[in-house]
Amino acid sequence: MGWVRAQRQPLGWVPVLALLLGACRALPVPDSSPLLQFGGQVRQRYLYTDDAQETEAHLEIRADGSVVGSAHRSPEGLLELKALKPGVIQILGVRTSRFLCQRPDGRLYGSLRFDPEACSFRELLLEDGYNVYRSEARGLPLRLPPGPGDLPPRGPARFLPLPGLPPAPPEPPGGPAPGPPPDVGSSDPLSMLWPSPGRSPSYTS
Amino acid sequence: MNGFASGTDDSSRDTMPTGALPRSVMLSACILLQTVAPGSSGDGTAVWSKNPNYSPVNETQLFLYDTFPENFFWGVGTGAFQVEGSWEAEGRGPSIWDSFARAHLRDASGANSSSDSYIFLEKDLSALDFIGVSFYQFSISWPRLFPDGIAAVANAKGLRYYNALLDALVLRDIQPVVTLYHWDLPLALQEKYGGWKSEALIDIFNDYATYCFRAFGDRVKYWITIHNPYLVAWHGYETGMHAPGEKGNLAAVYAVGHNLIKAHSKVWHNYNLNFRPHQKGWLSITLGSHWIEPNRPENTMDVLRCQQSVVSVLGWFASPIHGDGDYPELMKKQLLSVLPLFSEAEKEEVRGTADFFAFSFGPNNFKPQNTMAKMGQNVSLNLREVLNWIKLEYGHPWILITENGWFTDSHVKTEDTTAIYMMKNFLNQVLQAIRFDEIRVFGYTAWSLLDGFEWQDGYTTRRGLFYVDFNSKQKERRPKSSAHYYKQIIRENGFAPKESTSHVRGEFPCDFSWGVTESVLKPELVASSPQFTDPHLYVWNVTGNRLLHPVAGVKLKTRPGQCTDFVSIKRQVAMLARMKVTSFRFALDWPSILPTGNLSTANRQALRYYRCVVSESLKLHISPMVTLYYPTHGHPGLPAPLLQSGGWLNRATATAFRDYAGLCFQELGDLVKLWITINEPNRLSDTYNRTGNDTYRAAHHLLLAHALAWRLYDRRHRRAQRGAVSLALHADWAEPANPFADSHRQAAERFLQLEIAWFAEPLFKTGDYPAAMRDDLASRSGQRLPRFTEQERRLVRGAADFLALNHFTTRFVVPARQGAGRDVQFLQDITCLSSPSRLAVLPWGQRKVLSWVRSRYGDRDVYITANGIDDPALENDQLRKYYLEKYVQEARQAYLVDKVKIKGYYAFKLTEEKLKPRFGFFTSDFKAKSSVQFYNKLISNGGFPSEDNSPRCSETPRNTECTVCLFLVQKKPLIFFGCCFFSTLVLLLSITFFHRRKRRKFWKAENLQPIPLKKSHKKVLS
Repeated sequence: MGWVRAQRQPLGWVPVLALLLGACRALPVPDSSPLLQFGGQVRQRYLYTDDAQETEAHLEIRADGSVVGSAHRSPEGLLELKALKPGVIQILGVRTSRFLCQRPDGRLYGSLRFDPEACSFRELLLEDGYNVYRSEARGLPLRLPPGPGDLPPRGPARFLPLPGLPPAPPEPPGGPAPGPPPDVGSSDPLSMLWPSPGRSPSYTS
Repeated sequence: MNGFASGTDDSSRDTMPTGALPRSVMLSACILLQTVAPGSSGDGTAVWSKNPNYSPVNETQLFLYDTFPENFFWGVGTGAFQVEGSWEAEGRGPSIWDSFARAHLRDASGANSSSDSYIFLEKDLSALDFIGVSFYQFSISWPRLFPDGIAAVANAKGLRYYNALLDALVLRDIQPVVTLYHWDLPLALQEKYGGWKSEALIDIFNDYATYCFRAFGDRVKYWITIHNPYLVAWHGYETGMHAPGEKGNLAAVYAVGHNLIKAHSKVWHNYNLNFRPHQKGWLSITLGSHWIEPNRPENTMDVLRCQQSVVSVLGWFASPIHGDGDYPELMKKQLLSVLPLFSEAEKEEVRGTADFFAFSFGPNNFKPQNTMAKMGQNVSLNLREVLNWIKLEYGHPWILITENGWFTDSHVKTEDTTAIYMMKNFLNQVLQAIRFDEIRVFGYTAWSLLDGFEWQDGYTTRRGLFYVDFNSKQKERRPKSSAHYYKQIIRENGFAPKESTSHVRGEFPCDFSWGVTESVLKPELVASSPQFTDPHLYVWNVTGNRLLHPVAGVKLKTRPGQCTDFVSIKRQVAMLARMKVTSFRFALDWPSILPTGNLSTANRQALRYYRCVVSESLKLHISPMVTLYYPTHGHPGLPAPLLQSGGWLNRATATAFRDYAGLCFQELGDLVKLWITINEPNRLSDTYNRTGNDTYRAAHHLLLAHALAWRLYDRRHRRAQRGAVSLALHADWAEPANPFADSHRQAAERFLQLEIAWFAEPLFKTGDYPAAMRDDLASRSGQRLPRFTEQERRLVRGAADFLALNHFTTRFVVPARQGAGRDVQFLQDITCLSSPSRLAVLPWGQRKVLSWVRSRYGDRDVYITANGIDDPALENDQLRKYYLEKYVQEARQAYLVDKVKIKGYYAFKLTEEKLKPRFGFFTSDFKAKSSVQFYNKLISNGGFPSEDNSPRCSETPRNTECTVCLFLVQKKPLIFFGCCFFSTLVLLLSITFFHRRKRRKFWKAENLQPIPLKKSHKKVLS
């Protein structure tokens, strides 16, 4: 009698095991590395500051290489923060593909070339969630220029990195994009004739 | 325009001409219908409202291969003054245009330069026979019949000419469509009454018309009173560009218009009452118009301005005659007292005085631009939209297009290629209007039969289907390409599909390489995760300064470098996984691997990055195809020292390339089985184009560089690595733009020589450049192709394992004019679907290029290494999907029917860059477009876009062999956990089991030995 009971017991575990295995299959193991708590090794952030009393600003790298603060989030304000070594990051403007760099006097500019001396920043985390960035080579804090011609800048230095997705570019409206109007004075009003075959698509990229 | 309100009754189709009914019966039926659906002024604005469901690949937008309705009325037209000649002979009186031309147009008068139709009637008739028209529209010269304009005694010679013409047409079964007044007013009437400014002209014109009806009405069933009254009034009295050449007299302009309308209506009533009962013909007035489109289609003000623009030209005459009998409200408001008034009785008289809508759409209504009422909007040549406007404004009338076409410059002789495409465009728009918008067009007049006098342009432009040398004696009519083309359209009654659409069923084999192409991958030179490479241990914020402090003396073991250190690879691989491709083509960056071009300074990190790209894709069973050198316009792709020493103009670059290739074969060759040495060397000439000789020298070195690399692979690596090496050629197909001209065929062949044979011939055939190309270059421009030495020839010949072709589109080739720099020009077929960067979607071109290559270079393995199009849409890229479907279909036909050994198809391309043509399956911020899924489906169905096919090759042999291994690899953590769980369970169970057994043993033992125990106990006790 005791035999029978002892043998039946492991068989009762089988469905439980199957159930557990099934549950495991359905739930994939998430990316649980504690090092990835920022959602990836490369972060896309807006650097927001409200330090200078009333002004609220997002740091922006413009296409001409200037760095300004703007009240609203814009494509130029989206920055890619990437670790270079522990505590040290590079900041890249996503739209303009310019690195945020600092001149020896503390002024900021956007550079197409990465210069490790001017463009590496040490990230200091403050207890209120704000960060301070100091130039790795010179130790000067990254400050937003409050106005043009302010040398050296005395603007806000505490930044809140706000997560941001790149703003979606507008979808072209329905209908064909209106081409140039026909040149009705010409025998080829719709510009059909071309002197060259045009660039190869391979060569445009 | 698929969004037009279609307020059409289905019965309209039923009344379309049928073979059995004579045309006049057909027309009488439709006129009855016309009154059923009245349109009203202002309805036409709907034409400009944009359809939100617009799609570039909707069938109502694409070129329509279809036929016109049965018994469609095909014709050509001429104006008497333009072609007749003999202006001062045979009793003809002078017209206002004779004196105007003499006074204002320098080269036009005096000379005998005209087509002399009055003399060479037979030649005109044989020209008509050649085309095979069903009607001929010509005008009667008023001063030739009545030299002073008054219909008293007709000039016998003139009468004889028109009778002869009409008799000849009737004999040939060509319907005459006769215009009474095509601008050549007898000069006497202008001098005596002031021309059309005077109301007296109304009755005089009516008398002339009455005479014509009497004299010719037995043979003429279609009458046009006046040709384009707008131009008569506007250019005759406002701009002064037409006879009589008065300028800036706005009151006269509208008075003339008023009299023309009344003259027409009087003639119509006259015909209706006195001639129609026994002559049974139809009468209308030709109205011309331009077309216009709003600057901003969503702006209602712009739409209103467009409406005003069309109303003030076409509406001016069409509204009284085809509409409510009065001028359009918009005109009345704007012109106030300048515009004459119609009394109620006159309105009643004028209204409905046309039996069909005779419409003219040609260059004259667009010239000159500065006098057009554009209202700040954009002119347009969209004939389909004007027809829709007419339909909406004037209640769905029957329309005869009495003039359409464009002009060519006077130097163009019989190869009027642009005219063909203008005609193709206009005619297909008419066909679309008939088939999709249900517009009742029953006839079309190509303008014109002959080159002739082009009014204010004199003889500087030509509009004929037949070329006439005005300086010759015999004035031979030589058919132009457009005459051949029009003849073909009439014969086919429309557009027959050019390529056969019968498709063979069948798929690509399961081992077919379905790939995607990417340009140069920039290597990440620093791993993105320093955590794994830094051996120090840190503590944070010990002193409260929020800094990391390295703990001195502690060194941790770092993890060895891994491919996951590169973030961009993860993204790359994720995209590839979504594409579900089996192959991935990408290019290495030469300057990153060898910054100095020298092997001693190779960048190991870059090589490691590329190795990671390859190995990570291989983990997804995506085999790589690696391009070693991929130049672009922005990046020449050469290491800086090589670039400084002349780039490809320097022979040493070829040797440097061989060394670089050797390094790549050595480092990556164990994983990479398909190599492309150079991408599109035949288009590098765009970069080296300072002189022609530079182009060919650079190309020569590229060819040698490739051959050196191939030989190296063949000698050192092939046995161990078993891969294949080739170079990818840009291989667009060339089609003669003008199918009727030999020179175009030759130009297309020459283009292919330069596009493909230039590189393919040395590699796959002779070891030398094509002889034809060498001769051709020398004879054309005195340029010389470099010579191969015997040794080089041996090096180059056969130095490729397969054919790799980058095919994007088909080009229509035009031979350039003598003296122009380049020897070919290109033509964009405007009727063809094309992308923003003007790539035309012509899938059959791909099949043609594949067959061409096969016929020349034999039965080789072929890879289509790039094929794609730019689509402006960021999400729903319909154009790309359409392109992929059609091009893959053609590739399949080439594989199944033409037996081209296609081994792989690589769609171009994976991602796109910002501000560049949008070629990517993924946007520049890595968002998938809908074509990704579409391509998935194509791949899983072996090239078929159909839904029903279940995936065929998903269980590839490689996968079935080792489903278990794959499962093991993918479910590592689960299996580990499962094992732990299971072993714990087993342990627990065995413990329980043993415990039980032990207890049972004990229990048994207790049961078995009670007595001896007791006994002994007792014994002991006792």
